[in-house]
Amino acid sequence: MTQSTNPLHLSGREQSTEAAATKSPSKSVSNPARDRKVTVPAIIRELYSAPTLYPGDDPALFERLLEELAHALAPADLIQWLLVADLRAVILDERRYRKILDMIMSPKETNGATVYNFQNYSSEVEKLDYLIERCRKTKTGILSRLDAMKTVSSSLHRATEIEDVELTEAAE
Amino acid sequence: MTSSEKQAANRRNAKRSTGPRTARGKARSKRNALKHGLSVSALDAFAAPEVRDLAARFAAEGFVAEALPLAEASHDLRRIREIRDALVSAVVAPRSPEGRRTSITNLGRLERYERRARSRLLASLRAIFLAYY
Repeated sequence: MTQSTNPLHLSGREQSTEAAATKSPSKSVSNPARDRKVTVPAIIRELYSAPTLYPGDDPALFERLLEELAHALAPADLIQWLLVADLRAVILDERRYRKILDMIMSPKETNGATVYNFQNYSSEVEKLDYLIERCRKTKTGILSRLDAMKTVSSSLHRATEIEDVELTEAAE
Repeated sequence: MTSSEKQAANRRNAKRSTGPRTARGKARSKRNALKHGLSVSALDAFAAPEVRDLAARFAAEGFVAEALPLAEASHDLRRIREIRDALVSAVVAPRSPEGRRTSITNLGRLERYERRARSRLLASLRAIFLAYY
């Protein structure tokens, strides 16, 4: 296993982002709070284009969420970027389902009387609850997959580094 | 009651109704029974060129062996997101309360396809990861 033949090339976020920036046209997003740049691979931008905005949606949230997740999870290769982008999609889905649920549950004033919508949508409320629960499980699944990949790859890198040092010492 | 002349005319007309003749008509009618196409492989469906392009992009990134299943799953997930966008729009601004109910039910149905597509995506990513480590 050598670094040069491995397309995953896990050697830190800085390196992967630099490589992505030189290989394909990608968009840089600056985070004023942290003053660090995250370069999202172009293929991720194409696969995960911005969703439709609904009343009350924050148009910057889509980009900001990926930026925050990238800072927190530090995806080091395309596999991890795919997982992080998928995680963002699931987080946004959960938010949407919660909004719909909120919309259905919120009472409305009609002719001086308070009407509760959820009485008409009891089965739909159950379905939305289920969808929210699925989103939560999916998020946990993606995070644990990401965590496992990071653990294995960092252990292997450490082993490779030790092996390199030993080989260098033996050669000397 | 239909006269015998009328019945004969109907039979003659029916014999001429042999489906679309032009290539455009045939291309259109072959998708008559297609509802959403999420239960079939994207490679067998109308999206094959798009999936192959995406696979070529993944292959260029170095994921040669798993490029096609990865592209297929990614493409399916993208389509599911597009369909969900449309369904959520129908829930947020429904034409009728019944329309809202139907859209929420369809969101639930879509989740099954999404789960399968995501499972395939994760399996492809795992295979790539194992292949290179």
